This record gives sequence, structure tokens and C-alpha cells, in this order.
Amino acid sequence: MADEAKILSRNWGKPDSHKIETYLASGGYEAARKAIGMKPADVCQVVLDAGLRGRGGAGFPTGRKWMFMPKDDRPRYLLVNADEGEPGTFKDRDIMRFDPHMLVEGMIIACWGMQANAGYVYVRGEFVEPINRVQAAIDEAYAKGFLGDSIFGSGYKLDLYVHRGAGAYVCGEETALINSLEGKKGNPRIRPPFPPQRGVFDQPTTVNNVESIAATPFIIANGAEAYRKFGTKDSAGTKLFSVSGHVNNPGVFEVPLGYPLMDLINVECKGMLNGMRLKAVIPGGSSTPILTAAECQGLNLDYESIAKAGSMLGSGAVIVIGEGTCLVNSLHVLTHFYAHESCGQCTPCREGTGWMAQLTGKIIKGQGKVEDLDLLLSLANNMSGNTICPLADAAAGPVKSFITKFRAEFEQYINERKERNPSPWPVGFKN
Amino acid sequence: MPKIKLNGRELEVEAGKTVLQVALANGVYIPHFCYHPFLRISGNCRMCLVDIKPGPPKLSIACNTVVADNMEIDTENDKVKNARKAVMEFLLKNHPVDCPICDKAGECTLQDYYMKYDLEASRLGDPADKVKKQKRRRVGKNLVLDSERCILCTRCVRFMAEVVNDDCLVIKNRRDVAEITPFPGKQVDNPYSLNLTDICPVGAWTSSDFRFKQRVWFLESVPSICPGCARGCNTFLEKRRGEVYRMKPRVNEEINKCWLCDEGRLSYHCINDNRLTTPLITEANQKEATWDAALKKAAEIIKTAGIDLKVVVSASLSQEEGRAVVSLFKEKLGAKLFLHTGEPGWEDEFLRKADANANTKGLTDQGISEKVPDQLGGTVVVLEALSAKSLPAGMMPAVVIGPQVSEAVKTSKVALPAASYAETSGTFVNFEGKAQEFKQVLPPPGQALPYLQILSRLAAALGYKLAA
Repeated sequence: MADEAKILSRNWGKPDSHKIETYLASGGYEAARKAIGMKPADVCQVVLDAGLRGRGGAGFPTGRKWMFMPKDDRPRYLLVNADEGEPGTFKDRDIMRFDPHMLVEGMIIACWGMQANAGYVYVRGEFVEPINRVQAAIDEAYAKGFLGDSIFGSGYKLDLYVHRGAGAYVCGEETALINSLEGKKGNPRIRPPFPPQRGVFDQPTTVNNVESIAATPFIIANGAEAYRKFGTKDSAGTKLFSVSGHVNNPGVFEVPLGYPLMDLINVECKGMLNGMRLKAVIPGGSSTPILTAAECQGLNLDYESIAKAGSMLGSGAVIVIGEGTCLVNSLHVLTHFYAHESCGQCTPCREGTGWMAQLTGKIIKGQGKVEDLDLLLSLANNMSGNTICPLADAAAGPVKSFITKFRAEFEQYINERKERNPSPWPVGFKN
Repeated sequence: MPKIKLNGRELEVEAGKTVLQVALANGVYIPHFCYHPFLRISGNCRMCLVDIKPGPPKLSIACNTVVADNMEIDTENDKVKNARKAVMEFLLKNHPVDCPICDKAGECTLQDYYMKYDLEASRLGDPADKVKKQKRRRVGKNLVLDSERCILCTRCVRFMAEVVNDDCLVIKNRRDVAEITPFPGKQVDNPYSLNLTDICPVGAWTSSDFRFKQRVWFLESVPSICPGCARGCNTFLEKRRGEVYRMKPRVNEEINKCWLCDEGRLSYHCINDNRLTTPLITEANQKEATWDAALKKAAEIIKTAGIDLKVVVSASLSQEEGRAVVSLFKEKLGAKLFLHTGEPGWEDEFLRKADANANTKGLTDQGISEKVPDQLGGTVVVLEALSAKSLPAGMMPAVVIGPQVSEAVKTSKVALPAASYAETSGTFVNFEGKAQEFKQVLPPPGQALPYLQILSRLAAALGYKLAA
């Protein structure tokens, strides 16, 4: 099933798949050439018609986003968000490692569609290999005349740059990314103004995910209908899922949207690790609500189905949790992560994430109380929706879903932990 | 003009204004920490969350939402009230709640809002779980910073960066260990640094001058004008039991907005210190005398001088005092008047003027304009104000009228104690020609009298009568 649905990962197995020769051999850069022969507005329209939705997590139609760019004479910018920091997500990394030219070509198309003359790839600082690969790809494209003062000899000028992040999860939020790119502290900005009005360097800016941009060469080359052949009506196309956790074959898999979750686990990932029973799945990155094993049965991986099940498709980071995993520990890892990564700007997030991590830490150490669970839920509710950026919601999401869905386990842990000699877990883990 | 509904009330409001501005202008108070009318919007405190329709289902911040036609704003429903309680709880989670020893207590926004919008018990079980940060750091000549009290509203950071263009402050760290700090190796020694103590909604920034001097609820605040330079910043003098404890800015959008320079702000000390409280007559050494004796002696000196009389007038005397001076000395006695401005001080683009006198323009317009020459012979009468400027070297004034025990007083034959601007009322004209009245704040110290009384009694002693 998944084999014929390879759009983003079609070159991944080839030798030297990151080199321009390999990419050109499979018809690379033809889409960019074709796009530059089209009217910019038509390029946006095709991408909109294809039903491509933002792959970073929000799922906003990419073509619509491009159309928001004002048509005045200010310089416009494309920023590609490759600050892939959500725990469990590692799909953009493989695009950049194995097929960076698909990203470069997509950026040419996107920049032409928005008539931007400069694009930035903001890559997570720890991604050394992807950074080198993308930079090498950009260099190769310059050498071929695909980038620079007159790309493909059309007279259209486009420069692409790679910017290395400095290690903050919150910089994956688009306005924090803009601040970081400008050299400022990575704090999200208040909206309005929105990036298309005043983004990077105070100019119109669009921020797109790596995977969204990488999907555009296929759409331009084959048309919107070809893309719509994959996926469902409202969730068109294919999507990369990065599967981690208790499966035999974790990794990044490209499947059409609407693909059954259990098939992803049992076919692509070759089943649960050592035949474990499934306990729960976090379907779209650590910030999305957890689903119980029962909720996973018959669930399809598309925006609508997962939303109906009470979670989010997010970035497509499927974390599979096998029976025997202590969700109290798992939740503490997550609350600790969000407390560490809150930028500290908005009151509810700054204090709330820290407080939640403190409470889960106490529970882990055997100092928790059952009432702490209600306090945690109350704090999570008080944080949600009350901050500048969605980091507070991201931190609140797992707390709410873990505790409501696995309350018995939490209560049992709290009551039994008190009796046993408290020993912190994991070893050397500071809360 | 968009039409909006504010808590059910239909209003027609100015376009381009934010919901917070419109609400405040229409008597609906929306609590806020980080919003400040003279600073850029930051939107981080989340206290001003209100329910706005049409719009997203979640609450929106009033400070960054511009009013639009048909907007319906609810600032008092349960959702909003609960959000405020939530923000207050989060702010207080790591706040030390050391109000009993905090100088801000009594005028602290966090304290006031707790009483008004929260009043919930803490759900933090153990106070030891509060995050520890740096306390009582001296970060500048006049400032002490307590990071634990700080609610990270960034007003101070924005003031430094936007208003005085001195990027000396920054927030270091993320999450709940974030704290305000000067850049490494830097201090907050800007000449406007004490404004941080006004705009700080909590007790994080305190003035080393005011720390532990008074509880603010004992202080009585009286409007006044700063006489420190020709700008004429609007102020409050805050007093208790005949002593001024601090000077604070008073909002005047045309003159000083809501700011003051540190030098002006700390100039209140001269109201309390080094005052001349009794008339002095000097024969061999300075001796305290009665008013009658001192006035008689002064009148003798002035009479003897005749038309050789020179009068040096401080440029910080008020308009009213200036008129009396002109009437007595110039019109009745025919003396020559000189305007004493002293050396020009520092000046910048923001508030401070080089002319460190309160009323140079007003007195010049009254005809007291001639500069004090380096050499001035004959009999010299000197009329001084607070922070008296030094006289040219070698000048030996015969009579000095002034509020302070200045150098001139020490070398004079007769010294008469005058009330300062804080102990009388009057008018100053600033460098732009704006006349501003000020009121009496305190009674004159000791036997000191207002200038107008001194001059009319001196006139009587000389056999003249001054028009009231």
C-alpha cells in the first residue's frame, strides 16, 4: 500500500540520494522550472487546490498561507521551519538528510509563488548532518544556476540561506523563530501583527514546515489532482510519520493520510516490540493528547479522524507505548520538558509549567498526594488558551489527557509509592 | 468611529484604539501589569484577558486588541474572572509575599489586585517550593533589585530600551527561573533610572534613597513642580510630619509624560536639609537675631547704598516673587537687577535642560535679564532659592535672602530666611513658556517666611508700601 504512495521519500533508498545528480536523474528541478513558467498566483492556487495542509502541526492550508502575503513593494521572505524539536518528531530531519534537494526545489516554488527573493531554512542547532546536507544542496543548486541572481536564466533572483538554531524548542513557534533568526531572544511575538504583515526584519513573511515545502515539487509537477489521489477528501496527500517507542521497526514512514494507525504499527513498524500489548499511543508529538489502546483501534491517520478521537495529528510523531510502561514517569518527563522549554514570557506558562513539573516530580519521589492530580488538572486548564503562543496548551495537553485517561494508574502509583522507599527514576534524572 | 458594546453598554469609540484604552477611558477598569500607556505593548502578563466577540473562543488580551465595529466586549463574566484568578495564582506561586518588609506595599499592583480580583488561598503546599532568585541586588547608583518579587512584566526592560535608549537590562534564562538583570558588566546608572521604581508594578525595583524610610500609606501626596531645571516636570511631593520623603512624577503628557530625572527626583532633599531657619546678623560672627532687628539692619544697609544698590536674583524665584522684587528694588529703590542662573548643567534630548533653574524664562520676560558680571562692586543684595548657585568669586553680598545656609549667607552681613518653593505657592514658566502653578506643601521651617512677606516687611522698614 505504502509503496506506491511515495512522494517525499521516493529517493531515500538510493545511493547518494542527497546529491544533486541523483535528484536530477529522477526528474528533479523540473517542477521548479515549470513553476517559474507559471503565474505566481497560479502556483499558489495549485497548491491550494491540492489540499496540502501545513505539516508542522497546525494543518493550515499551505496555499492559503501563501496567498495571505501582501502584494505591495516590500521585500518578502520565506522561512522554512526546520526547528524540529517536539519530542517524538524526526521526519524533517530525514527529508534534509536524504533528499535536501526536494526541500530546495520546494523553496524555489514557494518563493516564486509569493514573489520572495530570499528564503531561510531555520534548522535546529543539534541537526549537524541535516544542516550540512541542506547547505551542500544549496551550494550545488547555486553551482547549477538554480539559485542566485537569475535562476534557470529567467531573471528571477532568489537566495537561500541556512540558519542554525541555538537549541530552544520554543523557536519552532513561528514568531519565536523570527525573533531568533533576527538574533533576538526566541520569545514568541504577540499577534497582531501577523508574520504576513510584519514578520522577519519587519517585512512580510511566511513560515512553512519542511515537509509542506518538500511536498510542493510533486504538486507542481503532477498537478493538484495527482496529489489528491492520495489521502482523504479533507486531508489530501501523503504524510511522513515518525514512529518511536515499543515497536519492532521504529523510523520514518510515508503513508497516505487516512492510513489506519494499527496498520502503521503492525505493517510498517512490524508490530509491537517483543509482542508487547499496546497500552497507549501519542499520535502527533508529545503535546497531543494521548490515546488509549482502545481508542487506537480502527483509527485512521488524518486530521479529522484524530480530532474526532480527541487528539491531533500534529507533526505526525507517533509515540507507541507498550504495556508495562509507567505513564507517571512518562508524564513527568513531558512536564519537565515543557517547564524547561517555556520561554518564560507569559505568566501562566512560565509559572504553570514549572509548577506542574514540580508536582509530577513530587509524585515520582513518593511525596505526591492524590489531590495533586486535581491541582495538576486545574493548572492545566488555567494555562490553556491564555498565552501568546501554544506552548502552554502543548504542556497542558498531555497532563490533562494522561491524568483523565489513566487516573487509576496515577492514584495507584501515588498510594503505593508512598509506602515503598522512594527511588528516583530515571537514574540521574533531575526534576 | 467603530460602535462597540462594552459590558452591554453601547459606545462609539475612536478608531485605532485598543480595547484596554477604550475601557479605561470609559470607566471600565481592566486589570493589567505589563501594559503601560507610555511603553510599547508587550502582552505577556495575561492579566487583561477579556471576552471579545466575534473572535476565537478563547479570551483575548485587551491591551493588544484594536477595537472594531460591532465588537462585543465582556470584562466581567465568569470566564474572565476565572482567568484573572488563574493569572494571579500563577504570579503569586513564586512571589515571596514579603509585603510586611516590602517598600512597595500599599501601592503595589499585585497586592491591590489580589484584594480585588483574587482572594483565594494558596494551593502551593510548601512555601519551600518557591523558586529562589537573587535578592536585594544593588544594580545601580540609586536602585536595588529583588528578582523574587519581580513578575517579569518587562516594563523596566522596555523603558530602558525605548524611552531612554539605554539597552542595559535584559531577561536572562527561560521558564520560571527567568530574571531581569543588567547586561554583564553593566549597571543601571542611567540618569533616569529611578523611573523604574514608579513603573515597576511590584516591589522588584526599589529606590535606595527611599528604602525603609516610610510606609507609603502614611505619606501625603501633594502636587508640585520640580524646580531642578527649565523643563518644569510635574511632580508629587510626598510628606509626613513636616518632612518630604520622596518626589514622584505626576502625569503631564505635554511636559514630562510620567517621567522624572534622578537628579530632579532626589532634589527634594534640599527641602529638608541645611535650611536657614532664623534671621542672622553678622558683626564679627553670625548671630541669630529677631526679624525686626534683622530687617532694620538690612534696611540700613540698603538705604546707605542708595542707587549704588545691586540685586542678584535667583532664576528659580517664582513669577509672583519676581514681580515683588521688581516692584521694590527696581521701581522704588532704583537698583540694578541681575538674573543669576549659574553655570549651564547637563542636557539631553529627553527631559533635562541645561538651564538648571525653574523660572528663567518667566523672570527674563519680567525684565530681570541681565547676567551677573564676574565683578560686581557696591552693595549687593542676593535673593536665593533652593540649590543656590554659587556667586562669582570674591563677591561679598551685604544682604542675603534665601532658604538655605549657602556660601553667600555665610559671607553676608544680614541673612533673612525665606520659604522654599515647597512652602509657598506660585508660578513657574518653563523654557517653552508654559506657566505652571504650584501649591504650598509644607509650612516654612523655623522662622522662615515666604518671599512676598519678607519683601513687604523690608519695604515697610524702608518706608515704602508694596502693592499686594
